[in-house]
Amino acid sequence: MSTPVVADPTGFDLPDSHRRAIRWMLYLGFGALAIGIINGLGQALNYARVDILQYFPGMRTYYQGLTVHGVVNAIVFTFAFANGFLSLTTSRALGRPVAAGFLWATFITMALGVVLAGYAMVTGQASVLYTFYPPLMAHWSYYLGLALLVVSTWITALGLMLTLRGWRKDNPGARVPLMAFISIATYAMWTLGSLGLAVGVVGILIPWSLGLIANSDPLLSRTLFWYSGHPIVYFWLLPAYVSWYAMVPRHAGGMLFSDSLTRVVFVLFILLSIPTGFHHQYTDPGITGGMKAIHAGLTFGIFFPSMVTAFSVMYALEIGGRRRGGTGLVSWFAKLDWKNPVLVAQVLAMLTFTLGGVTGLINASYSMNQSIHNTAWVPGHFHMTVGSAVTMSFMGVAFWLIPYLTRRELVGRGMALASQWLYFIGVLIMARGLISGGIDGMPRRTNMLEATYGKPTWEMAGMLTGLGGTLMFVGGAAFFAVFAATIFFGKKSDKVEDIPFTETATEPATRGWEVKLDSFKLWMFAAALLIAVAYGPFLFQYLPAAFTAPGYRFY
Amino acid sequence: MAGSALTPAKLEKIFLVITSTMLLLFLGALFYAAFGLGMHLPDRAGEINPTQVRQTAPFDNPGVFQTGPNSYQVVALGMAWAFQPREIRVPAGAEITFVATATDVIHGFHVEGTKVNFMMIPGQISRVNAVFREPGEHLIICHEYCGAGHHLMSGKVIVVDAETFAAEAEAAAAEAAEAAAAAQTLETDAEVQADIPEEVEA
Repeated sequence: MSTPVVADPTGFDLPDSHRRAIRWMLYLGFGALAIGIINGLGQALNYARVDILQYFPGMRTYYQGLTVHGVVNAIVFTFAFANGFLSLTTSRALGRPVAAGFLWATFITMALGVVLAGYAMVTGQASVLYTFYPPLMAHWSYYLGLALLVVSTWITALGLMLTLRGWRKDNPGARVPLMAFISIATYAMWTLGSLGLAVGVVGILIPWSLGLIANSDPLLSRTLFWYSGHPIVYFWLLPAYVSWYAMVPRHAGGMLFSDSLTRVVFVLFILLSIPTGFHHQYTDPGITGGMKAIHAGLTFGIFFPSMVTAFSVMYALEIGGRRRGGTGLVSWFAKLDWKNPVLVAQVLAMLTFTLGGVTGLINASYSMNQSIHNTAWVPGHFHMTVGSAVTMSFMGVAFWLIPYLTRRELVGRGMALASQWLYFIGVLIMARGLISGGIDGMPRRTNMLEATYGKPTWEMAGMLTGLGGTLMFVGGAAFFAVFAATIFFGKKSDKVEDIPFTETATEPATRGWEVKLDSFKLWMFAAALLIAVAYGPFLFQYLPAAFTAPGYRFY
Repeated sequence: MAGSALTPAKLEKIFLVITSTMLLLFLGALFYAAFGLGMHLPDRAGEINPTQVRQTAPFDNPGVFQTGPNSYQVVALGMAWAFQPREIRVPAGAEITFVATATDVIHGFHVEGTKVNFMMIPGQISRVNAVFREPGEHLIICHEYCGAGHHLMSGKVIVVDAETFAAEAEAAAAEAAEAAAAAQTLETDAEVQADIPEEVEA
């Protein structure tokens, strides 16, 4: 028996005030992405030894541009999308809009964060990249701006949790609708996951950049960064997973495999996203090999829910493909609706994510990490995860979400399709370049155009990076043409369309262990225990911290 | 048909068993490589006051030092924007221990084409073991962003075959001895010269 992933499948219309708030969040996020993609073109061409950065207004150095690229893409774009999109999915699933005050507070906090961090970056006072490791010191407004961006996610988290509480009061004993569960689970995970950034930025870096603390402890700050640095990866990814689970089956004409299994996947993300941060610090001194091994094991554990996801998503797609007349072991794939840009963007995103997952597993592979750590391999990897799987999924969602929020019809379906294919082919070529260069020792985050060293074999890697990046840029530009045309020239449509949620093949259980899955308190508590196991021994050995390193502004 | 018994739930179970087994095998192989074959990651190797690096042994004297019949210690520093020493000469097949730290901001130390790849973090001492089996040259690349001149920061590891290295070391030792002897002679001459006036006075 199939059940929709929302509480009430009929008769929901999000109030206009809410639509407006969510729309502005998305404009902010996609505006950031536009700036990030322009900067990205400069970074990619730099590898191909073509200097266009010199023509960018306000950009004085490669590293200034790279800082902007990282912050606007990986923080502003992703946070804004998650805040807006998951507020909508939660409101819809519960049939109960998140209070508009939370939406506007989220938007205003984000905007303020962007202004503060943007001021420091544009004036060249924060060219410390988006990882901002001390002792490199940025202007205080950079750290404060980033902190506000994190606070915006907390405001949304609070909004979602209060909405859920209200819903539970009105529906005692009922299972939380699946789409609300997975949306709120994303924020439950990130609320715990963002604590490292909060402590590191508010507790250390802001007072340090204001001169209230003379010195920093670089290893402690790195550890706090990566405590949040892995959950942030899942905070980027899970809104895409929400779409893959709760909407893509509908776009494909299939249905979601299992209600319980989907909840188990998100519970595993709450549990395992955080106690894995040391796999970003495999080559750091000061952390024992044993602790790194524990994080390696847990990192392999978090691969499991993504494998379940691969199965569930393929199941949904295959049902869709067969319903459309597809046959054979794999040839049903060709029968998917390849004319629907919403679906095409996300199916292509899943394909790059497969490669992103494989390369990610190699990164996580303990001593093997030493072969590729901090080489161009790493951006090769994450442009197939956040840089395409997530970005293309969000673009695919935008193809229905922007019409939904603006009550206008999508303009330029053909161009929308072309944008995704260009971006997809581009990212594969670029990642091929970066990955091969990385295996050959080419470093990441380095101005290769002006480097005083190099290898002849890096030239081909750099050319592919530049070529792929250019295609991604053209695809991105086509996307923004569709985006802007829809907002300004889309045909006004008065017929009320609901958001495209799916149905599950098995309905949620009303008794037994599955009911426990809905207890966020339980899972957050269990996650906190795992965090204590994963970080406790290190902190016990390491603390008290040695605040001995003075700050430098070498940029 | 046998295939009809394969419900989605069963198929999923098979899929998950295969993938989990794969993950466990990978992890087992990695831990075997690490703890069975000794392919280790950097561990805790001590702390240092980052403002006192040049006054603290062994970092007061960066370079390559023989520590045993076939073992060498390389004391290395990372600073904006150079490695010290810039060029590291070691014999092929010897056991090399890198001991390193940073004097200002975080730097990276990647001997391209090898597994020597670690962070240099102010306040922390990095210790990494390596054996370079083949003679040849490798770039040392700073792969952690360290400021406006990050892309200028590189060095070289030159691996020479053991015999050449021994011959070079001998020649260098002989040269050093000669220089020392020359210095001795000069000193003696100076002493003699210094003595003369005294004698005259006497």
